[in-house]
Amino acid sequence: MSVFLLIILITFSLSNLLIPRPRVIDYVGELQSAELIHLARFYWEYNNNRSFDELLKIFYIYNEKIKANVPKVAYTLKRKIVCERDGLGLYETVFNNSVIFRSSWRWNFSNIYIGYENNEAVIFKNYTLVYYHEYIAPQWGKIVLYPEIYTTCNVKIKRVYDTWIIGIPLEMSRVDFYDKFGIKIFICDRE
Amino acid sequence: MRVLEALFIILALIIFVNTSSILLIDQGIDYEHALISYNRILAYQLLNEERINRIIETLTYYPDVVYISLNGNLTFIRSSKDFIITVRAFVLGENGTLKPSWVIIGVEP
Repeated sequence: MSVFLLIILITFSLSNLLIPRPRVIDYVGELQSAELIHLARFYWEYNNNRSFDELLKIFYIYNEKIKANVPKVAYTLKRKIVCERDGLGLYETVFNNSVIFRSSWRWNFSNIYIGYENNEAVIFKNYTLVYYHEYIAPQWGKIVLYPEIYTTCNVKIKRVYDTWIIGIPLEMSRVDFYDKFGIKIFICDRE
Repeated sequence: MRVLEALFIILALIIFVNTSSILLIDQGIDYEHALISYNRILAYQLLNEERINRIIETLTYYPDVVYISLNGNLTFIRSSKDFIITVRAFVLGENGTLKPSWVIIGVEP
């Protein structure tokens, strides 16, 4: 009887112990890769006028300040635009720890149609546009986002799942769009 | 009788050792789970959103979050008597406009 009472008392006291000896002191993983993706995305946003080195310097000041544990990295940048009737665009940042940010879009000419603006007939060029972000990191593989886009130009825009249908007046050779993060993309047609 | 007593003591010792080790391991796992889970939650928020206020608003809905500190301004969501772990993140700004902000969340495992 006394032995069982002893068991109960010792077990109860152990269960109330505060145990400040976790096996994992800190975790470096998804959050640090997400911080790098955020940095890369911020660089490509339209209102940013700082170089990547300048941003990296500011980034590491805050990293040190709040102890976010983001490792030191090297990077490469890539920007590619092909202005054709069926064209494409790419903004890419690759870090040397296998974290990659990619913003890609491609457009394809469909047809020409006649629309009406203020009771006047206007000829539109119809394009399909696919725009997406790819966030690649060793912790999660690849995440693909399809951000909303908007434009201040006078064009017709409609979303069908992950594709945008764009109607551009015939005389316009370039239309700019912005996504929810402030990244600027465009359709440019030499014709 | 002596033999029986000895057997009971051994049984009591086995129960004690097993129960105490399970209790200790459980508390360790809770801490690790919370640390890793909330790192992932904050990472996901950062990938989907740059507006720090939106991120904080989403975090307030998580039941384990005890406090949120935005740029050093601490707001308690609920009270807690237990051990708190912290998860930290920062953003450079939004829409290409440099305006660094940092957030530290306190989570109860």
